[in-house]
Amino acid sequence: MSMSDSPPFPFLYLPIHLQERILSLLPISYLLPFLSVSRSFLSLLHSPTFPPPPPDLFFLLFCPVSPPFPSLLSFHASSFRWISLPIPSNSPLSLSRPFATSSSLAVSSFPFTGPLHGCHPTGESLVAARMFSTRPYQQIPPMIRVGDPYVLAVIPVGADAAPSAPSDHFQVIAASSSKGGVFSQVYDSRHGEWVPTGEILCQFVVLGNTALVDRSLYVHAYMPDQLLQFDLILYKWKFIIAMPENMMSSHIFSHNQNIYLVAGFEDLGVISAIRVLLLDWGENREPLGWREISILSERDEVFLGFTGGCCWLFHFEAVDRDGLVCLHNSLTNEILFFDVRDRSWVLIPPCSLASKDTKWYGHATEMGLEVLRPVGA
Amino acid sequence: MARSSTENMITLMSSDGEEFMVTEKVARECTTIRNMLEDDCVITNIPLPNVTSDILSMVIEYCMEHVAAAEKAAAETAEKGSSSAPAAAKANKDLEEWDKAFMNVDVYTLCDLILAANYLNVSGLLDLTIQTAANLIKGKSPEQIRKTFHIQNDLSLEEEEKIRSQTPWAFEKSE
Repeated sequence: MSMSDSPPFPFLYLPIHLQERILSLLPISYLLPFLSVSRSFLSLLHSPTFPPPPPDLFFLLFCPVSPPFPSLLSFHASSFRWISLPIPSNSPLSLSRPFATSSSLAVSSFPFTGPLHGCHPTGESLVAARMFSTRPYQQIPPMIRVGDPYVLAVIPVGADAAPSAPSDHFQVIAASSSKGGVFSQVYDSRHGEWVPTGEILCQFVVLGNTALVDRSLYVHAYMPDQLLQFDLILYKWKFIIAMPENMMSSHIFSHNQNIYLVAGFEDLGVISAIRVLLLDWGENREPLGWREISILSERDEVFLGFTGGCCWLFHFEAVDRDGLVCLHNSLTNEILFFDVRDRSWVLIPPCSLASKDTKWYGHATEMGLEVLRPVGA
Repeated sequence: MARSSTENMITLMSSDGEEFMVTEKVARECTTIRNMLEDDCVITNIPLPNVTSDILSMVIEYCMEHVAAAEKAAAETAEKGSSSAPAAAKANKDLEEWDKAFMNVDVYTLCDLILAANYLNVSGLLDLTIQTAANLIKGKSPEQIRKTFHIQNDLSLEEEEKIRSQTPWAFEKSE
Protein backbone atom coordinates (compact mmCIF):
# COMPACT_ATOMS: atom_id res chain seq x y z
CA MET A 1 0.00 0.00 0.00
CA SER A 2 1.48 3.33 -1.00
CA MET A 3 1.63 5.89 1.79
CA SER A 4 0.42 8.71 -0.46
CA ASP A 5 -2.81 6.82 -1.26
CA SER A 6 -3.73 6.21 2.35
CA PRO A 7 -5.86 8.75 4.17
CA PRO A 8 -4.04 10.86 6.79
CA PHE A 9 -3.81 9.44 10.29
CA PRO A 10 -6.87 10.93 11.93
CA PHE A 11 -5.10 12.04 15.13
CA LEU A 12 -5.58 15.71 14.30
CA TYR A 13 -9.24 15.06 13.51
CA LEU A 14 -9.83 13.66 16.97
CA PRO A 15 -11.56 16.16 19.26
CA ILE A 16 -9.00 18.34 21.06
CA HIS A 17 -9.84 16.82 24.46
CA LEU A 18 -8.91 13.35 23.15
CA GLN A 19 -5.70 14.64 21.57
CA GLU A 20 -4.84 16.21 24.90
CA ARG A 21 -5.65 13.01 26.77
CA ILE A 22 -3.29 11.01 24.58
CA LEU A 23 -0.45 13.52 24.83
CA SER A 24 -0.93 14.03 28.56
CA LEU A 25 0.10 10.41 29.17
CA LEU A 26 3.57 11.25 27.89
CA PRO A 27 6.28 12.56 30.23
CA ILE A 28 7.83 15.86 29.17
CA SER A 29 10.90 14.42 27.45
CA TYR A 30 8.60 12.55 25.04
CA LEU A 31 6.43 15.64 24.54
CA LEU A 32 9.22 18.03 23.60
CA PRO A 33 9.76 16.55 20.09
CA PHE A 34 6.11 17.39 19.34
CA LEU A 35 6.90 21.09 19.57
CA SER A 36 8.73 21.00 16.30
CA VAL A 37 6.30 18.70 14.47
CA SER A 38 3.81 21.30 13.33
CA ARG A 39 2.10 24.51 14.32
CA SER A 40 -0.98 22.72 15.64
CA PHE A 41 1.09 20.70 18.15
CA LEU A 42 3.03 23.79 19.13
CA SER A 43 -0.15 25.62 20.08
CA LEU A 44 -1.69 22.53 21.70
CA LEU A 45 1.28 22.07 24.04
CA HIS A 46 1.54 25.76 24.83
CA SER A 47 -2.15 25.98 25.63
CA PRO A 48 -2.79 26.91 29.27
CA THR A 49 -5.41 24.14 29.47
CA PHE A 50 -2.90 21.42 28.57
CA PRO A 51 -2.91 19.00 31.54
CA PRO A 52 0.33 18.47 33.47
CA PRO A 53 2.22 15.39 32.22
CA PRO A 54 3.33 12.58 34.54
CA PRO A 55 6.61 13.44 36.31
CA ASP A 56 9.66 12.67 34.21
CA LEU A 57 12.48 11.42 36.40
CA PHE A 58 16.06 12.46 35.76
CA PHE A 59 18.98 11.44 37.97
CA LEU A 60 21.44 14.34 37.99
CA LEU A 61 24.65 12.48 38.56
CA PHE A 62 27.75 14.40 37.53
CA CYS A 63 28.80 18.06 37.27
CA PRO A 64 32.06 19.86 36.50
CA VAL A 65 34.54 19.88 39.38
CA SER A 66 33.94 23.56 40.11
CA PRO A 67 31.16 26.01 39.22
CA PRO A 68 29.76 27.42 37.05
CA PHE A 69 27.87 24.33 35.94
CA PRO A 70 26.62 24.86 32.37
CA SER A 71 25.03 21.42 32.34
CA LEU A 72 24.61 18.24 34.36
CA LEU A 73 25.27 14.69 33.20
CA SER A 74 21.97 13.02 33.87
CA PHE A 75 20.56 9.56 33.55
CA HIS A 76 17.03 9.26 32.20
CA ALA A 77 15.87 5.97 33.65
CA SER A 78 12.74 5.50 31.52
CA SER A 79 14.65 5.71 28.24
CA PHE A 80 17.81 4.23 29.82
CA ARG A 81 20.14 6.85 28.42
CA TRP A 82 22.54 9.57 29.46
CA ILE A 83 21.50 13.13 28.70
CA SER A 84 23.42 16.34 29.25
CA LEU A 85 20.87 18.75 30.73
CA PRO A 86 21.78 22.42 30.38
CA ILE A 87 21.12 24.65 33.42
CA PRO A 88 19.74 28.13 32.70
CA SER A 89 22.66 30.50 33.26
CA ASN A 90 20.64 32.72 35.61
CA SER A 91 19.76 29.79 37.85
CA PRO A 92 21.38 29.60 41.30
CA LEU A 93 21.96 25.94 40.48
CA SER A 94 24.59 26.86 37.93
CA LEU A 95 26.65 28.27 40.81
CA SER A 96 26.36 25.68 43.53
CA ARG A 97 25.28 22.13 44.16
CA PRO A 98 21.95 22.05 46.02
CA PHE A 99 21.78 20.97 49.66
CA ALA A 100 18.49 19.18 49.11
CA THR A 101 16.04 18.41 46.31
CA SER A 102 12.52 17.10 46.08
CA SER A 103 10.16 16.79 43.08
CA SER A 104 11.47 19.64 40.88
CA LEU A 105 12.51 21.82 43.84
CA ALA A 106 16.06 22.48 44.95
CA VAL A 107 17.44 24.40 47.93
CA SER A 108 20.83 25.84 47.28
CA SER A 109 23.11 28.64 48.45
CA PHE A 110 23.40 31.77 46.37
CA PRO A 111 25.75 34.75 46.60
CA PHE A 112 23.68 37.49 48.19
CA THR A 113 23.20 40.42 45.84
CA GLY A 114 20.67 42.57 47.69
CA PRO A 115 21.22 44.86 50.69
CA LEU A 116 23.28 43.16 53.40
CA HIS A 117 20.60 43.49 56.06
CA GLY A 118 19.93 40.18 57.77
CA CYS A 119 22.17 38.26 55.46
CA HIS A 120 24.38 35.31 56.33
CA PRO A 121 27.85 36.58 57.41
CA THR A 122 29.55 34.86 54.50
CA GLY A 123 27.46 36.85 52.05
CA GLU A 124 25.55 33.79 50.91
CA SER A 125 21.91 33.09 51.40
CA LEU A 126 19.59 30.17 50.80
CA VAL A 127 17.31 30.08 47.79
CA ALA A 128 14.67 27.68 46.53
CA ALA A 129 14.50 27.18 42.77
CA ARG A 130 12.62 25.01 40.32
CA MET A 131 15.29 23.05 38.51
CA PHE A 132 15.55 23.55 34.72
CA SER A 133 12.98 26.30 34.88
CA THR A 134 13.52 29.94 34.08
CA ARG A 135 11.07 30.91 36.81
CA PRO A 136 12.61 33.25 39.39
CA TYR A 137 14.00 31.62 42.52
CA GLN A 138 12.72 32.37 46.01
CA GLN A 139 14.99 33.82 48.65
CA ILE A 140 14.97 32.08 52.05
CA PRO A 141 15.87 34.18 55.12
CA PRO A 142 18.97 33.21 57.16
CA MET A 143 18.65 30.25 59.48
CA ILE A 144 18.52 30.64 63.28
CA ARG A 145 22.13 30.81 64.41
CA VAL A 146 22.51 27.85 66.73
CA GLY A 147 25.78 26.09 66.05
CA ASP A 148 26.41 25.64 62.35
CA PRO A 149 23.04 24.79 60.81
CA TYR A 150 22.77 22.68 57.64
CA VAL A 151 19.81 21.80 55.42
CA LEU A 152 18.41 18.28 55.82
CA ALA A 153 15.50 18.28 53.39
CA VAL A 154 13.12 20.32 51.29
CA ILE A 155 9.53 19.16 51.01
CA PRO A 156 6.90 20.60 48.68
CA VAL A 157 3.75 21.46 50.59
CA GLY A 158 0.64 19.84 49.15
CA ALA A 159 2.74 17.58 46.94
CA ASP A 160 0.80 14.51 48.06
CA ALA A 161 -2.40 15.88 46.59
CA ALA A 162 -1.01 16.69 43.15
CA PRO A 163 2.50 15.38 42.53
CA SER A 164 2.47 16.47 38.91
CA ALA A 165 1.44 20.04 39.67
CA PRO A 166 3.40 20.99 42.77
CA SER A 167 2.41 24.18 44.51
CA ASP A 168 5.07 26.81 44.96
CA HIS A 169 5.13 26.31 48.71
CA PHE A 170 7.61 24.19 50.58
CA GLN A 171 9.19 23.42 53.93
CA VAL A 172 12.92 23.30 54.60
CA ILE A 173 14.18 21.29 57.56
CA ALA A 174 17.59 22.13 59.03
CA ALA A 175 19.68 20.87 61.94
CA SER A 176 22.80 21.80 63.87
CA SER A 177 24.78 20.51 66.83
CA SER A 178 23.98 22.22 70.11
CA LYS A 179 25.07 21.80 73.71
CA GLY A 180 22.43 19.26 74.65
CA GLY A 181 22.22 17.39 71.35
CA VAL A 182 20.83 18.37 67.97
CA PHE A 183 18.90 21.59 67.41
CA SER A 184 16.36 21.62 64.59
CA GLN A 185 14.47 24.34 62.77
CA VAL A 186 11.88 24.51 59.98
CA TYR A 187 11.19 27.14 57.36
CA ASP A 188 7.71 27.17 55.84
CA SER A 189 7.42 29.35 52.73
CA ARG A 190 3.77 30.11 53.62
CA HIS A 191 4.91 31.84 56.81
CA GLY A 192 8.26 33.12 55.59
CA GLU A 193 10.29 32.49 58.73
CA TRP A 194 12.40 29.86 60.47
CA VAL A 195 10.96 28.42 63.64
CA PRO A 196 12.86 26.34 66.22
CA THR A 197 11.39 22.81 66.31
CA GLY A 198 12.86 21.17 69.32
CA GLU A 199 16.05 19.37 70.19
CA ILE A 200 17.03 15.75 69.95
CA LEU A 201 18.68 14.95 73.25
CA CYS A 202 21.49 12.85 71.86
CA GLN A 203 24.90 13.86 70.53
CA PHE A 204 24.92 12.66 66.91
CA VAL A 205 27.93 13.55 64.84
CA VAL A 206 25.74 14.42 61.88
CA LEU A 207 22.26 13.86 60.50
CA GLY A 208 22.41 12.31 57.05
CA ASN A 209 19.96 11.55 54.30
CA THR A 210 16.19 11.61 54.72
CA ALA A 211 13.09 9.81 53.45
CA LEU A 212 9.51 11.05 53.48
CA VAL A 213 6.47 8.94 54.37
CA ASP A 214 3.17 10.80 54.67
CA ARG A 215 3.97 13.83 56.81
CA SER A 216 6.89 12.20 58.60
CA LEU A 217 10.48 12.76 57.67
CA TYR A 218 12.78 9.84 58.50
CA VAL A 219 16.39 10.82 59.13
CA HIS A 220 19.50 8.65 59.07
CA ALA A 221 21.59 9.87 62.03
CA TYR A 222 25.26 8.95 62.23
CA MET A 223 27.38 8.06 65.27
CA PRO A 224 25.47 6.68 66.96
CA ASP A 225 23.71 5.23 63.87
CA GLN A 226 19.99 5.64 64.43
CA LEU A 227 16.82 6.11 62.45
CA LEU A 228 14.93 9.18 63.64
CA GLN A 229 11.48 10.42 62.74
CA PHE A 230 10.43 14.05 62.52
CA ASP A 231 6.71 14.79 62.51
CA LEU A 232 6.18 17.58 59.98
CA ILE A 233 2.85 18.62 61.47
CA LEU A 234 3.61 18.49 65.20
CA TYR A 235 7.33 19.32 64.73
CA LYS A 236 8.34 16.50 67.11
CA TRP A 237 11.34 14.17 67.01
CA LYS A 238 11.23 10.48 67.84
CA PHE A 239 13.81 7.68 67.99
CA ILE A 240 12.67 4.82 65.77
CA ILE A 241 15.33 2.11 65.69
CA ALA A 242 19.07 1.52 65.69
CA MET A 243 20.74 0.96 62.34
CA PRO A 244 22.28 -2.47 61.66
CA GLU A 245 25.94 -2.93 62.56
CA ASN A 246 28.95 -3.28 60.24
CA MET A 247 27.64 -0.90 57.59
CA MET A 248 30.22 0.67 55.27
CA SER A 249 27.97 3.07 53.37
CA SER A 250 24.26 3.46 53.81
CA HIS A 251 21.24 5.31 52.48
CA ILE A 252 17.59 5.29 53.50
CA PHE A 253 14.68 5.69 51.08
CA SER A 254 10.93 5.36 51.02
CA HIS A 255 8.50 3.79 48.59
CA ASN A 256 4.79 3.02 48.99
CA GLN A 257 4.77 4.11 52.66
CA ASN A 258 7.69 1.82 53.47
CA ILE A 259 11.14 2.72 54.77
CA TYR A 260 14.12 0.93 53.24
CA LEU A 261 17.82 0.93 53.92
CA VAL A 262 20.46 0.10 51.33
CA ALA A 263 23.91 -0.50 52.74
CA GLY A 264 27.28 -2.06 52.09
CA PHE A 265 28.20 -4.56 54.82
CA GLU A 266 31.77 -5.25 55.84
CA ASP A 267 33.55 -8.32 57.02
CA LEU A 268 36.94 -7.49 58.60
CA GLY A 269 37.12 -4.14 56.84
CA VAL A 270 36.27 -5.56 53.42
CA ILE A 271 32.86 -5.10 51.81
CA SER A 272 31.19 -8.48 51.46
CA ALA A 273 27.65 -7.62 50.38
CA ILE A 274 25.20 -4.84 49.52
CA ARG A 275 21.86 -5.42 51.17
CA VAL A 276 18.46 -3.78 50.95
CA LEU A 277 16.51 -3.94 54.20
CA LEU A 278 12.90 -3.10 54.86
CA LEU A 279 11.77 -1.68 58.18
CA ASP A 280 9.01 -3.91 59.58
CA TRP A 281 6.29 -2.32 61.69
CA GLY A 282 4.04 -3.96 64.26
CA GLU A 283 0.27 -3.64 64.41
CA ASN A 284 0.43 -0.49 66.52
CA ARG A 285 3.00 1.06 64.24
CA GLU A 286 5.89 0.15 66.53
CA PRO A 287 9.18 -0.59 64.73
CA LEU A 288 10.02 -4.31 64.83
CA GLY A 289 13.31 -4.52 62.96
CA TRP A 290 15.11 -4.56 59.63
CA ARG A 291 14.30 -7.40 57.23
CA GLU A 292 16.45 -8.21 54.20
CA ILE A 293 14.59 -8.06 50.88
CA SER A 294 17.51 -8.21 48.47
CA ILE A 295 21.22 -8.94 48.57
CA LEU A 296 24.13 -8.53 46.19
CA SER A 297 26.97 -10.74 47.35
CA GLU A 298 30.56 -11.28 46.29
CA ARG A 299 29.43 -14.07 43.98
CA ASP A 300 27.25 -11.75 41.89
CA GLU A 301 28.69 -10.42 38.67
CA VAL A 302 26.94 -7.09 39.24
CA PHE A 303 28.59 -6.79 42.66
CA LEU A 304 32.03 -7.33 41.12
CA GLY A 305 31.27 -4.86 38.36
CA PHE A 306 30.18 -2.25 40.85
CA THR A 307 32.97 -2.65 43.39
CA GLY A 308 35.58 -3.13 40.68
CA GLY A 309 37.19 -5.81 42.81
CA CYS A 310 38.41 -3.11 45.20
CA CYS A 311 36.69 -3.91 48.46
CA TRP A 312 38.90 -2.14 51.02
CA LEU A 313 38.25 1.53 50.46
CA PHE A 314 34.72 0.88 49.33
CA HIS A 315 32.31 3.78 49.72
CA PHE A 316 29.16 4.69 47.86
CA GLU A 317 26.97 7.76 47.64
CA ALA A 318 23.33 7.41 46.72
CA VAL A 319 20.30 9.24 45.43
CA ASP A 320 16.80 7.85 45.16
CA ARG A 321 13.40 8.73 43.78
CA ASP A 322 10.18 6.82 43.39
CA GLY A 323 11.60 3.46 44.46
CA LEU A 324 14.67 3.72 42.21
CA VAL A 325 17.99 4.00 44.01
CA CYS A 326 21.16 5.03 42.25
CA LEU A 327 24.45 4.06 43.94
CA HIS A 328 27.74 5.64 42.94
CA ASN A 329 31.06 4.00 43.77
CA SER A 330 33.20 7.02 44.61
CA LEU A 331 36.41 5.17 43.78
CA THR A 332 35.55 3.67 40.39
CA ASN A 333 32.68 6.00 39.33
CA GLU A 334 30.53 2.94 38.56
CA ILE A 335 26.77 3.50 38.73
CA LEU A 336 24.40 0.83 40.02
CA PHE A 337 20.60 1.05 40.09
CA PHE A 338 18.29 -0.84 42.41
CA ASP A 339 14.56 -0.88 41.61
CA VAL A 340 12.52 -1.73 44.69
CA ARG A 341 9.43 -2.56 42.59
CA ASP A 342 10.98 -5.65 40.98
CA ARG A 343 14.04 -5.81 43.27
CA SER A 344 16.38 -5.75 40.31
CA TRP A 345 20.00 -4.54 40.21
CA VAL A 346 21.34 -2.98 37.01
CA LEU A 347 24.84 -1.71 36.31
CA ILE A 348 24.67 1.35 34.06
CA PRO A 349 27.05 1.67 31.11
CA PRO A 350 29.49 4.53 31.68
CA CYS A 351 28.53 7.88 30.21
CA SER A 352 30.31 8.60 26.95
CA LEU A 353 29.78 12.32 27.56
CA ALA A 354 31.69 12.24 30.85
CA SER A 355 35.13 13.72 31.06
CA LYS A 356 37.69 13.07 33.80
CA ASP A 357 36.95 16.42 35.39
CA THR A 358 33.53 15.66 36.74
CA LYS A 359 32.36 15.02 40.25
CA TRP A 360 29.34 13.43 41.83
CA TYR A 361 26.29 15.71 41.87
CA GLY A 362 23.87 13.17 43.32
CA HIS A 363 20.42 14.68 43.00
CA ALA A 364 17.26 13.90 41.07
CA THR A 365 14.45 15.94 39.59
CA GLU A 366 10.98 15.33 38.26
CA MET A 367 10.69 17.45 35.19
CA GLY A 368 7.33 18.86 34.24
CA LEU A 369 5.89 21.51 31.98
CA GLU A 370 8.08 24.24 33.50
CA VAL A 371 10.70 23.65 30.80
CA LEU A 372 8.02 24.44 28.22
CA ARG A 373 6.47 27.49 29.74
CA PRO A 374 8.60 30.58 29.61
CA VAL A 375 8.85 33.18 32.39
CA GLY A 376 5.55 34.59 33.58
CA ALA A 377 3.45 31.91 31.89
CA MET B 1 -24.47 -19.67 27.91
CA ALA B 2 -27.79 -21.20 28.99
CA ARG B 3 -28.61 -18.10 30.94
CA SER B 4 -28.47 -15.79 27.97
CA SER B 5 -31.82 -16.99 26.61
CA THR B 6 -33.59 -15.56 29.65
CA GLU B 7 -31.65 -12.30 29.42
CA ASN B 8 -32.92 -9.17 27.79
CA MET B 9 -31.53 -8.80 24.29
CA ILE B 10 -30.80 -5.43 22.73
CA THR B 11 -30.30 -4.73 19.05
CA LEU B 12 -27.58 -2.21 18.19
CA MET B 13 -27.67 -0.79 14.68
CA SER B 14 -24.48 0.53 13.07
CA SER B 15 -24.28 3.58 10.79
CA ASP B 16 -24.25 1.28 7.72
CA GLY B 17 -27.43 -0.47 8.86
CA GLU B 18 -26.03 -3.72 10.23
CA GLU B 19 -27.79 -5.11 13.31
CA PHE B 20 -26.03 -6.64 16.31
CA MET B 21 -27.95 -8.61 18.96
CA VAL B 22 -26.30 -8.38 22.36
CA THR B 23 -27.32 -9.11 25.93
CA GLU B 24 -28.38 -6.13 27.98
CA LYS B 25 -25.42 -6.75 30.27
CA VAL B 26 -22.96 -6.36 27.39
CA ALA B 27 -24.78 -3.28 26.07
CA ARG B 28 -24.63 -1.73 29.53
CA GLU B 29 -20.83 -1.70 29.33
CA CYS B 30 -21.39 1.35 27.13
CA THR B 31 -22.35 4.13 29.54
CA THR B 32 -24.11 5.98 26.72
CA ILE B 33 -26.40 2.97 26.11
CA ARG B 34 -26.83 2.34 29.85
CA ASN B 35 -28.13 5.89 30.23
CA MET B 36 -30.56 5.36 27.35
CA LEU B 37 -31.82 2.13 28.94
CA GLU B 38 -32.23 3.80 32.29
CA ASP B 39 -34.20 6.65 30.74
CA ASP B 40 -36.42 4.28 28.77
CA CYS B 41 -36.36 0.68 29.92
CA VAL B 42 -38.53 -0.74 27.11
CA ILE B 43 -36.09 0.30 24.41
CA THR B 44 -34.73 -2.72 22.49
CA ASN B 45 -33.44 -1.22 19.29
CA ILE B 46 -30.70 1.39 19.41
CA PRO B 47 -29.37 3.10 16.28
CA LEU B 48 -25.73 4.22 16.56
CA PRO B 49 -25.26 6.58 13.60
CA ASN B 50 -21.64 7.42 14.58
CA VAL B 51 -20.26 3.87 14.56
CA THR B 52 -19.61 1.68 11.52
CA SER B 53 -20.34 -2.05 11.62
CA ASP B 54 -16.71 -3.18 11.68
CA ILE B 55 -15.89 -0.87 14.59
CA LEU B 56 -19.12 -1.68 16.44
CA SER B 57 -18.38 -5.40 16.19
CA MET B 58 -14.98 -4.75 17.78
CA VAL B 59 -16.48 -2.67 20.59
CA ILE B 60 -18.98 -5.49 21.26
CA GLU B 61 -16.20 -8.07 21.20
CA TYR B 62 -14.32 -6.00 23.82
CA CYS B 63 -17.41 -5.60 26.04
CA MET B 64 -18.30 -9.31 25.81
CA GLU B 65 -14.79 -10.35 26.81
CA HIS B 66 -14.75 -8.01 29.79
CA VAL B 67 -18.27 -8.99 30.92
CA ALA B 68 -17.30 -12.67 30.66
CA ALA B 69 -14.12 -12.08 32.70
CA ALA B 70 -16.05 -10.22 35.40
CA GLU B 71 -18.72 -12.98 35.53
CA LYS B 72 -16.07 -15.67 35.78
CA ALA B 73 -14.35 -13.85 38.66
CA ALA B 74 -17.69 -13.38 40.45
CA ALA B 75 -18.58 -17.07 39.98
CA GLU B 76 -15.25 -18.17 41.41
CA THR B 77 -15.67 -15.91 44.41
CA ALA B 78 -19.18 -17.29 45.02
CA GLU B 79 -17.97 -20.87 44.70
CA LYS B 80 -15.02 -20.63 47.05
CA GLY B 81 -16.51 -18.09 49.39
CA SER B 82 -13.60 -15.79 48.73
CA SER B 83 -11.46 -15.05 45.74
CA SER B 84 -7.99 -16.53 45.77
CA ALA B 85 -5.37 -13.89 45.14
CA PRO B 86 -3.15 -15.89 42.74
CA ALA B 87 -6.17 -16.92 40.64
CA ALA B 88 -7.39 -13.32 40.49
CA ALA B 89 -3.91 -12.13 39.52
CA LYS B 90 -3.77 -14.73 36.75
CA ALA B 91 -7.22 -13.75 35.47
CA ASN B 92 -6.13 -10.10 35.44
CA LYS B 93 -2.99 -10.99 33.55
CA ASP B 94 -4.98 -13.05 31.03
CA LEU B 95 -7.34 -10.13 30.44
CA GLU B 96 -4.37 -7.79 30.04
CA GLU B 97 -2.90 -10.16 27.47
CA TRP B 98 -6.24 -10.28 25.69
CA ASP B 99 -6.38 -6.45 25.66
CA LYS B 100 -2.86 -6.32 24.27
CA ALA B 101 -3.72 -8.72 21.45
CA PHE B 102 -6.96 -6.81 20.83
CA MET B 103 -4.93 -3.62 20.33
CA ASN B 104 -2.97 -5.21 17.48
CA VAL B 105 -4.74 -3.02 14.91
CA ASP B 106 -3.68 -0.44 12.34
CA VAL B 107 -3.61 3.23 13.25
CA TYR B 108 -6.86 4.04 11.41
CA THR B 109 -8.82 1.37 13.25
CA LEU B 110 -7.24 2.58 16.49
CA CYS B 111 -8.46 6.12 15.93
CA ASP B 112 -11.95 4.90 15.00
CA LEU B 113 -11.98 2.81 18.18
CA ILE B 114 -10.97 5.86 20.24
CA LEU B 115 -13.85 7.84 18.73
CA ALA B 116 -16.33 4.98 19.26
CA ALA B 117 -15.17 4.38 22.85
CA ASN B 118 -15.53 8.08 23.50
CA TYR B 119 -18.99 8.28 21.89
CA LEU B 120 -20.31 5.12 23.56
CA ASN B 121 -18.45 6.00 26.77
CA VAL B 122 -16.74 2.65 27.36
CA SER B 123 -14.21 3.87 29.89
CA GLY B 124 -12.01 0.75 29.90
CA LEU B 125 -11.76 0.70 26.12
CA LEU B 126 -11.12 4.45 25.98
CA ASP B 127 -8.26 4.15 28.51
CA LEU B 128 -6.84 1.18 26.58
CA THR B 129 -6.97 2.86 23.16
CA ILE B 130 -5.66 6.19 24.47
CA GLN B 131 -2.74 4.44 26.16
CA THR B 132 -2.05 2.47 22.96
CA ALA B 133 -2.01 5.68 20.95
CA ALA B 134 0.36 7.28 23.48
CA ASN B 135 2.71 4.28 23.29
CA LEU B 136 2.72 4.55 19.50
CA ILE B 137 4.10 8.06 19.59
CA LYS B 138 6.37 7.72 22.65
CA GLY B 139 10.08 8.12 22.03
CA LYS B 140 9.71 9.21 18.41
CA SER B 141 11.62 12.00 16.71
CA PRO B 142 9.68 14.88 15.10
CA GLU B 143 10.29 13.32 11.66
CA GLN B 144 8.97 9.95 12.82
CA ILE B 145 5.92 11.57 14.40
CA ARG B 146 5.16 13.39 11.14
CA LYS B 147 5.45 10.14 9.26
CA THR B 148 3.23 8.23 11.70
CA PHE B 149 0.57 10.93 11.68
CA HIS B 150 0.96 11.96 8.01
CA ILE B 151 1.46 15.54 9.15
CA GLN B 152 2.90 18.26 6.97
CA ASN B 153 5.56 20.37 8.65
CA ASP B 154 4.24 23.92 8.46
CA LEU B 155 6.99 25.44 10.61
CA SER B 156 9.72 27.48 8.99
CA LEU B 157 13.30 26.28 9.25
CA GLU B 158 14.07 29.19 11.59
CA GLU B 159 11.14 28.41 13.87
CA GLU B 160 12.11 24.76 14.05
CA GLU B 161 15.71 25.66 14.78
CA LYS B 162 14.64 28.00 17.57
CA ILE B 163 12.42 25.35 19.21
CA ARG B 164 15.14 22.73 19.03
CA SER B 165 17.76 25.05 20.46
CA GLN B 166 15.69 25.57 23.63
CA THR B 167 15.96 21.92 24.69
CA PRO B 168 18.51 20.36 22.33
CA TRP B 169 18.80 17.21 24.47
CA ALA B 170 15.17 16.32 23.75
CA PHE B 171 15.94 16.07 20.03
CA GLU B 172 19.06 13.95 20.34
CA LYS B 173 18.83 10.39 19.16
CA SER B 174 19.04 7.68 21.78
CA GLU B 175 22.52 6.23 22.12
